[in-house]
Formats: sequence, structure tokens, C-alpha cells
Amino acid sequence: MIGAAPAGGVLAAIPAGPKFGFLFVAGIGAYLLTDLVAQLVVFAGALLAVLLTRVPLVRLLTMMSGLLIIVGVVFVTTVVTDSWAAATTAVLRLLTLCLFAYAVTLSTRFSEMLALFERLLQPTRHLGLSPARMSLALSMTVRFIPEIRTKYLEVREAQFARGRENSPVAVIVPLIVRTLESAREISAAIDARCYDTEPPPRRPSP
Amino acid sequence: MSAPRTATTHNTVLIAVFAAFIAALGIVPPITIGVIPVPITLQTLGVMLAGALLGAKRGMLSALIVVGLAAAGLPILSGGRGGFGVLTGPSGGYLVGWIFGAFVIGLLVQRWAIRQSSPALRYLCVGASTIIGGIGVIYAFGIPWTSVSTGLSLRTSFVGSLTFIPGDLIKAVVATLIAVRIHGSYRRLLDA
Repeated sequence: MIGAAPAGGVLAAIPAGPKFGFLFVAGIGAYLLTDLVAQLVVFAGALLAVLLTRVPLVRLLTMMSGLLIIVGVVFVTTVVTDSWAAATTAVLRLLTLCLFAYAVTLSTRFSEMLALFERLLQPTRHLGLSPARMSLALSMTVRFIPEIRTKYLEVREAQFARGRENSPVAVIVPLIVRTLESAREISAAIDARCYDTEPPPRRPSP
Repeated sequence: MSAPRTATTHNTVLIAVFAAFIAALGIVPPITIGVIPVPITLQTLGVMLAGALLGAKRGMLSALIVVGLAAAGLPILSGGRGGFGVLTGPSGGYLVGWIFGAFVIGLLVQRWAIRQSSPALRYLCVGASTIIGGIGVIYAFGIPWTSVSTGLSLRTSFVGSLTFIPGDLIKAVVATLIAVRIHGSYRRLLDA
């Protein structure tokens, strides 16, 4: 699960800001690196970072199984259409970025992420936007990605029983209906807890 | 004040869950549609649906959140891509295009397509809206961007992008079928 895991390992001690800052730099850096040795070194660093989160290896592998399949496909197609060197570069770049991203998300608590986003969004207050509400939306999104993915797989399995797993309409309509329903429940729950994203209303003068 | 606050909370949550919906569609296994042998990824479908279901402003914000989180490094784009590199890479323009694409789809659906009285006309107009916003607008950002980032000519970049048109047309049709159906049962979804 993205960000929902209890943060562990030495990386958890680093504040979220520098970690996301590093991810930002690594994202650009991975595209600028062209030397194979340098790429391998950075890749080893990324691998080390993920291992430092002390997430059990089995869980890590299940989490990344989809990614590994895609990496395989990318590798084969690039070898066929381009060259071995290009394929290695593409695959290393993809794996390095994903491993770093996993390391950051696995070692950052959800609340820390929320705080970071809120800080980054503060300046937009001057533009007449509501930073608190935007950071609520951002953190809720991160929280709901695995949720919706699970729902999608459930619906698809149910439609598989009806022989309709390859009809996107039959899979996505129920998924959206469920999503809209949970959106209604969540917003009711937020309001019930008075999570105040609005500035307090002006009191009527007596 | 309680009624508007409930509405804003609901809007915030809708934007968030649809952003999560777009992101989730990028990390689920691709789907094979009907007789076409090539599996297609569903992420653009999510962008089209966010615009068509939530309208211009909220749809755009959902797409913006996805692009923002992806740029922040979450591997939520199809193929597990993420990181700021995807924006600077050759397909970065398509991502930026999502934001404006969702906006245009939302605007057209909200103001024009969904108001058609006859069901057949409604399907046609929503379809036209998703094609204009989901293909026209997104490609209008993507093609020049590819050409700038790779140094290819605009023409080559345009010809290269044509390979994705069939898949995106299918997605536009699917998005239309879904959007009209959902609007049929949730009639107040577009009342922002």
C-alpha cells in the first residue's frame, strides 16, 4: 500500500521535505545519466535505499511484481526496436526511479506527507485558493489509489465470472458507482468530524 | 453556512477520489478490449472520465493532482513511471495535456453535450467532446513537446503519435458510453 505502511528503518528519520526533494532531483538526474557504470551505481543506491526501509522482501516483491513484468516488456521491445544499450538504459532508469519512489513512500508516514504538501501549498493562499483543502485532496488521493486498485481487481474478478472481464464498460461502471458512493460516505464522515477546511464563517453582528 | 461547506467537502473528496481513480487505472493490468488483440492501458480513459463526469473545474483539478503526484515521484503513471523525469521526457506534454484535456471535456460536456434532449444526440455530443478534449487538446500539447524534447521534427512527432490514435479513439468511445450511463443515474453530479 502506498504510504499507508508503518514507516520503518533509518530513512524514516529523514524529514519528508528533503526526501521528496531528493526524488525530484533523482527524477531529473536519471534522465541525464547516460554512462552505464554511473547508472549501475545509482541503481545500487536505489536498491540499498529500499532495503533500508526494512520492508519484508516478500512484500516488496509482491508490490513490485507488476512493475517487474512491465520492465521485462520494455526491455524486450527496446532490444527488438533499438539496441541492447538503449534497453539497459531504459530499464535501469525505470527501476532506479521506482525503487527510490518506493523507498520514499515506504519510509514516510502519511501524516508527514500531508504536512509537507500543506507547507508547499501555503503560498497559494495569496491566490485565493484554500491550501488546507488542496492538501486534504492530495493526501486523500494517495490514500485511495491502492483502495481503488483493489476495487478494480474485485470488480474485474466478478465480471470474469460472467465472462465480461474484457468489457471495459462492464468493469468501470460498477467501479465508478462504488467510488462515487464511497466519496459520499467519506465527505459525510469528514463533515461529521468537523474537519474544518474552510475559514470560520463570520459571526453575524448582534 | 453548513450547506455550502458540505458541498465543498464533497467536491474536494470527489476531486481526490477521481484523481486516485486516474492513478489506479495506470497501475492495474491493461485490458484487452473485444476482438482487438493489443491490450490497452486505461489511464487516459480515467482522464477523459474525470472531465466528462466531474465537469471542467473539478475534472481539471483531478488531472492536476495526478500529474503533481507523479512529478513528486509517485510511480502512478502507466508502466509504473513517476518522478519529475516523466515531465521532461518525450511524453511529458501528454501529461500536461491531460490537465487541459480534462478541462475542455468537462466544459463541453457540462455546457453542451449532456444538455441534448435526445439520447442518441447526447451520446454523439459527449463522444465529440471526449474526442476534442481527450485527443485534440492532449495531442496539441504532446506532439510539440515530443518534438522539442527529442529534437525530432514536428512532422515526425505527429506521424509517430498517429499510432496511438486508434487506442485513444476506442478509449473516447468507452468513456462516452460510461459517462452517459453514469450521468443517467447520477443526475446531479455536474452541479458543482
